[in-house]
Amino acid sequence: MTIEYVKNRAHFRDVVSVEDAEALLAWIQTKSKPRIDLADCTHAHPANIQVLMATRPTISAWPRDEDLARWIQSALASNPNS
Amino acid sequence: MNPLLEQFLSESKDFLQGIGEKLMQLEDAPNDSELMDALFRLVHTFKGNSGLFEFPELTRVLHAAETLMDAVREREVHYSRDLADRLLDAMDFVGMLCDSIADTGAIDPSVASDSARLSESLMELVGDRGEAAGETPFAVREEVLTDGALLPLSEVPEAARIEAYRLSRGESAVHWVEYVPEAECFFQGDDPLFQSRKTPKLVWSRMVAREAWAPLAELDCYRCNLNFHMLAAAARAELVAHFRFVADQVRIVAVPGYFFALPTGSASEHAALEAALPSLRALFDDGDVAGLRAKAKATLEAVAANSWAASALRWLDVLAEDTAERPKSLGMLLMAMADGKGPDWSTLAAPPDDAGVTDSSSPLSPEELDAMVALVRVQRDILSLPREAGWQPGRIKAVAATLAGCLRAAGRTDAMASLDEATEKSLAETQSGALVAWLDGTLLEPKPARRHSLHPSFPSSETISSSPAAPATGASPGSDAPMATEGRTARPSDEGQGGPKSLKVDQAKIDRLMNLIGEMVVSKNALPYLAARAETVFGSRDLSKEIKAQYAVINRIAEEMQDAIMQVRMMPVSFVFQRFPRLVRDTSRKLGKDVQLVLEGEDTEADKLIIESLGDPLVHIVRNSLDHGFELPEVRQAAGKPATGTLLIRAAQEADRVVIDIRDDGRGIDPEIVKRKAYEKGLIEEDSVDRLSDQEAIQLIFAPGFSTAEVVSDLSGRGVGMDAVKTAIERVNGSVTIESKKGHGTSIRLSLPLSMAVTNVMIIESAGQRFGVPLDSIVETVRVPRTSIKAIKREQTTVLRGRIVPLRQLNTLLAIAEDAQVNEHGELAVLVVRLGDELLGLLIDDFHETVDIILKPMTGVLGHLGAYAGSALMGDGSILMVLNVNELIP
Repeated sequence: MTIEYVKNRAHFRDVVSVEDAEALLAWIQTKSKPRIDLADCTHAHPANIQVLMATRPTISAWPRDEDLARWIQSALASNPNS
Repeated sequence: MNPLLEQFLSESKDFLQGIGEKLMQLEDAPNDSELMDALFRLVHTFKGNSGLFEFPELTRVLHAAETLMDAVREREVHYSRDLADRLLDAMDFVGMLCDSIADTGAIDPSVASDSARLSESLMELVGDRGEAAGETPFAVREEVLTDGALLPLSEVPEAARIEAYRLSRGESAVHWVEYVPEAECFFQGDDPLFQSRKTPKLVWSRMVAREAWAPLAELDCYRCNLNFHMLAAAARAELVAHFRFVADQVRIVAVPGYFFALPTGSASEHAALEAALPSLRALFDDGDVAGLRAKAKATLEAVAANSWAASALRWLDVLAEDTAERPKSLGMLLMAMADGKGPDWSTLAAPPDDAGVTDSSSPLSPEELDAMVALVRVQRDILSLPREAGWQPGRIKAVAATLAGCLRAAGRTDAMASLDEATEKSLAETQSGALVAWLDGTLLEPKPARRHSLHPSFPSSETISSSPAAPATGASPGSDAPMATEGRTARPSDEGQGGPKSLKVDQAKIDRLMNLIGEMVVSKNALPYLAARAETVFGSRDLSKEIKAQYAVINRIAEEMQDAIMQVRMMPVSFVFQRFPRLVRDTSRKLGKDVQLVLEGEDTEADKLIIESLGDPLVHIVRNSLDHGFELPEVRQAAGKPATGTLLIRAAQEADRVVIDIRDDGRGIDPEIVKRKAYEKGLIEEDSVDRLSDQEAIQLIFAPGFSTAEVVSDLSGRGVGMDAVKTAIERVNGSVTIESKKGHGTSIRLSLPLSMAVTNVMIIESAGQRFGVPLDSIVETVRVPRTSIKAIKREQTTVLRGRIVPLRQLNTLLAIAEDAQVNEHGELAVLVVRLGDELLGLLIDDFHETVDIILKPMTGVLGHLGAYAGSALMGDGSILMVLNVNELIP
């Protein structure tokens, strides 16, 4: 697993693969205030990002990888639901 | 090693296997486009996956293979044996790299040159297409933006637009890349984000949701709902090459620089701008660019930075940098500033860099238009279906999503707002009336005019792959809304069937389960002993009965469990067979022979251990057959046989054994040569040379150290072949027989047990000890009167059914100084066992029951005791030693 779950925090580490998305989605739904720490993430499969976009958890840290941070920020800025 | 890499390596084996298989199949059907597609997909996915890791040597070769297969698929390169050879070589190399990654976690840098050589040899076949890779079949047609309203450029931050504008003044045009991945793309191993991140010379990028997210409970995170928008300053060819494997999902539009010059922001400061405008205008008319810029800067300081006015002034400054375009572009911007809205750059749209290629005003093809019309009509039909309370909102939403998709595709974003309104009204009333009215009013207006009404507003959609299967969904990147909607409504039903049907389980886990079940069988066997004790020691017959009844139940369950775990361990022989097409092909070509391989009964199953032990012997046999058996095509023709030889490998289940026949129609084995060779090697005596029958002589090839090949080749002939085969097969309680007819071919038959896990043994008693003897080797059990035992010289023998059977004391063989006991009728117990083709009687004390045991081989210090096949734990806790009859007799 490249996502580490600690209480209501999910730490993304290195490369988060496509398989992690389902567990992430399930996890977020069980938490009332999920927080996502992306600092150590270097790449996340878009399936995971989709989950973040659809569930809107609090992002407690953006990826240190600036390029990835830009992509994810742009994704979370778009909101077709609103 | 990280789990991703581990998974990649384990998958790579499947990929390599699959690629090899498909190549073999293509050899027989070189024009089968389905096969080619399948092969391409395999290579493509494999390459895609490899790109996740830093193994350039690996990816380079796979990339070349992918390009080549792509060319083959597109019929630009013809499939040939040479091509297959090179691809197979390349895949072998990839397999080697994967192994080395698995061993050391890295690739030895020295293989880089091999990698380059192999890629080159593959690219060579692609020929001049090499440079234009991806250009010809997939080329996203040239598209140049002529109307700024077609792209959401105003959503790009101003800083990025300024940078893009400056870049577009330089070397290469800036392209708007819109990547709309297929909804199912995650399942094909695509990572669109990774692909997008690697886009060359990205200026700006974003990722947006394509449509509203489903409620969490229904959200399918593996259905791609993302669009990727990018501005890249790379040359078009570079971008096309980068996205060539998803070219049908990508739109690349060259954006002339001035389209970036869109002032954005709040309208608050308009008065300040209007005040400055006359002097700016005057400076522009005088051609005083420096003055203009200075004035713009001065005005800029006076207005709020986030206002439209400030943005316009900043653009004025940027546009003034460019001397060539300046007069026109500055003039337009100034005019726009007066109006307070963005300049309409499309009037400038004869692009200075590549004029003439503009075809973006071309309408949709008639087929696409028809599809769209049909789609819209279907929506109306859906809306007019009888109202069903529970479904209506879902229907309305689905229709609305589809229509929105159509509008996007048609570029009629102006109608979006009214559609939303109608949808909301319909939803609120749970009546489709409002939406139908909107549909009739907006899209399905007077029929003859319809086509025209849609036509002009369609944007260019050159990226369309005119795939006939999905005319409607392929209509434009935006129009996959219907597909996605469909998928979403269908999801609940396929949730149950989702997920893989099979599991990959580590063998150690199965073995553990197996051992545990074995132990349970053993402890279950303790119950009858307990029942006996209950009766004899504690005198409770009822309890004994109850224990026995319980035992019967546990016994049945245990047997079923055992059976189930056996099934898990069962593997089809195709696991071994799958390597033969390649082996036969390569070997026969190396030898200049023409051999056709026929495989039958590949789905026959047997225990994993058996199947695995079959591999090497089979390879030996097949190689022998290719090397010694088949003649060269000329020789075959001269002998009146077809030039192509046939090698048949057939597996079948017979009772509780798997039988594998390997039959060739080659030259067969010449018994005379075999005899002569065997004599030369000292394997047989001179006098037996004449006595041996032909069939007997042929069996000599199983003797250790026997080889008929004149020359030791790298294929066979080192004299280890057939005797190794025999040993390996016998190790798993199998047998080998051979038949051959000179000039007509050879047939070898391997017979193996289905499973090794449970051994059926008979318990015998000798010198007060109990031993197990595998039932496989027992022919019969008889009691022979002492008087019927005759001595021939020093050997004891008896006559059974008219046949002389030599007898041995088991005690003597085990070095126990006791004679076998005689029962009250003066009879000796004789266990007749099979030793190869001979029979032998073992004199023992008594016979007991037969039992199923889990045989544990002897290990460690006891491992060399050949007389024992192993040991087993009995239900009462005692150890049963199981004899290995073959090894027992010196």
